[in-house]
Amino acid sequence: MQIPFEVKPRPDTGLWNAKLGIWLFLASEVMLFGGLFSGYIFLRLGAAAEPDYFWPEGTLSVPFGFVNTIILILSSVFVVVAWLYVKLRDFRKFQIWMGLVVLCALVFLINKGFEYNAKFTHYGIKLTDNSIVEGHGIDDTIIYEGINEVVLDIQRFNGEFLTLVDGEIPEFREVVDGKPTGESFALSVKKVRGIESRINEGLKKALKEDWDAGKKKVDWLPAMGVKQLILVPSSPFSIRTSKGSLRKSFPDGAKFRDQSLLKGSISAKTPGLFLHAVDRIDLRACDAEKLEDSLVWKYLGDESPLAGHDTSHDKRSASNISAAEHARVAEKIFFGALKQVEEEDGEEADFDDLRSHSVKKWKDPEGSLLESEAPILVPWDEVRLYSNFTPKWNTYYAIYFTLTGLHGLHVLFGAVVLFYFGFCSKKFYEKNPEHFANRVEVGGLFWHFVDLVWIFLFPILYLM
Amino acid sequence: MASDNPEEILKSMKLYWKIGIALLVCTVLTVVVAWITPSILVGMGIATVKAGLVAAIFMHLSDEKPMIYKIMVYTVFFAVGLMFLTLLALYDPVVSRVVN
Repeated sequence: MQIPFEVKPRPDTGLWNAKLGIWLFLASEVMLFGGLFSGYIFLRLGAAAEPDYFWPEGTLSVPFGFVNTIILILSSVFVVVAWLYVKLRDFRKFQIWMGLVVLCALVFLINKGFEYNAKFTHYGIKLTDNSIVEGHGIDDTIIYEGINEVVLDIQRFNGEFLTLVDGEIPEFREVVDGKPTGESFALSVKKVRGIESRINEGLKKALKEDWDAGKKKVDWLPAMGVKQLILVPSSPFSIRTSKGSLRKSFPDGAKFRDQSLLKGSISAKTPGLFLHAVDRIDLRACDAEKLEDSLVWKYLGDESPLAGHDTSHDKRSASNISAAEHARVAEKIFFGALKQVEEEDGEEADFDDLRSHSVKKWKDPEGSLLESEAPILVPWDEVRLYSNFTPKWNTYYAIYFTLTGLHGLHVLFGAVVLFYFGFCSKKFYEKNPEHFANRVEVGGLFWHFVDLVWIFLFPILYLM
Repeated sequence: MASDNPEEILKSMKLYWKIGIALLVCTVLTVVVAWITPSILVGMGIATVKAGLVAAIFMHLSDEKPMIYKIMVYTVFFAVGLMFLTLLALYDPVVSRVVN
């Protein structure tokens, strides 16, 4: 069947079909990105209205963004030149220019990958006094030891904690009101996570028997209507996990995402959150009155719990430095920063001046620029929030990843379509070159739109 | 828009390269201006000029059929309206309490 108006324009609209189609599609895209840009403005103005919220500025690499802008602009020129070569009926040259467009798209996406990776491996810790430290190499290992009671949510239990047990998994006995019921369970990861059943077969059987016998042996959590099972191990055991994978953690227990609650205590080996190399300190929102009262000073300085704690069990051992050395590092950072502020402002600086700057680099007496690489260990109860630089960390990264991720998908999709035109459509070109030229024009219009969105993204995300 | 006349097409090609160079210059300008004085208005102004060049020349909006203009006028109207909704939100009692 011949579809009309593929090459010739329709008399009523004055356009061939695909052209009308792409413009309607681009109109919807304007609304989509317009909504996200509007969201960006909303978040940014909201941040400006909050006295203690500082919109992160200058956290992206301008050279990376600049190079990607140049790449997209060049690709926009290349795609329109490629289209002109179809008009000139020179397929070979069309292919060369289209190849360059696809190459530009690939380089753009690879650059983006590097940029994303830098964010995924950079961490921030917000302390309870609202001071912030940022850096690389986080270790959020937490060990719970002496676990002597486990509360399972029967409907949700997925056996996650069993995979984290340090050593052999013990036998468990069921208790009700502190008394053993006589039931014992050999929980195993394989059975719990088996295809046939989400919970241990023995557990399931015992529950069914009790249910059939009309005995209400298992606890019901009345408010939630959730069945719980309280188990006691044959001997206390330990688990080692990352704090981020827990639903909640308490000094006397941990709750997993499947609602399993383990009662034990945090090991002295893992007293807090460790960041291997602090490269930025932000005290702008810090609640402390004096520098010495700020938690960052405390934990970088000679009160740091790092100095005394056992570092033999994991990768932290690499930074086993003495308390005196630690205090010197902290001093270097803070007083170096003060000096930097003094040099910038041309007058004597105090803690309040330091609070108005985010400290990243400072000059040593010889005048060379140094960057902090001090480790820090923050006790668990002083950590308000920690995360890598993803949407969890702040609203800036939320909107940054949404905008650039959606834009990146457009680049990928556009590159696939243009590659198809360039290298899989020769027969189509030979059959009807004008129809093919129209297709390329439509693909090109989409590509220009992708460029156009980036033209706005670059200044608002990288420069402002 | 390029016609089917090879001479016209080659002329268009020259224009596209010139616009490409203008866009590159504008990009350098954006970075330099942001470095000297980080002004949102100037940054957005240059970006709008660049976007205008891409839309007018590369996307042929300078020489299009009325139907496309109609589509775009409606779109731009609503997209600009979307930005003003954000400003309205600032006068929302919850947010304005923070501002004032």
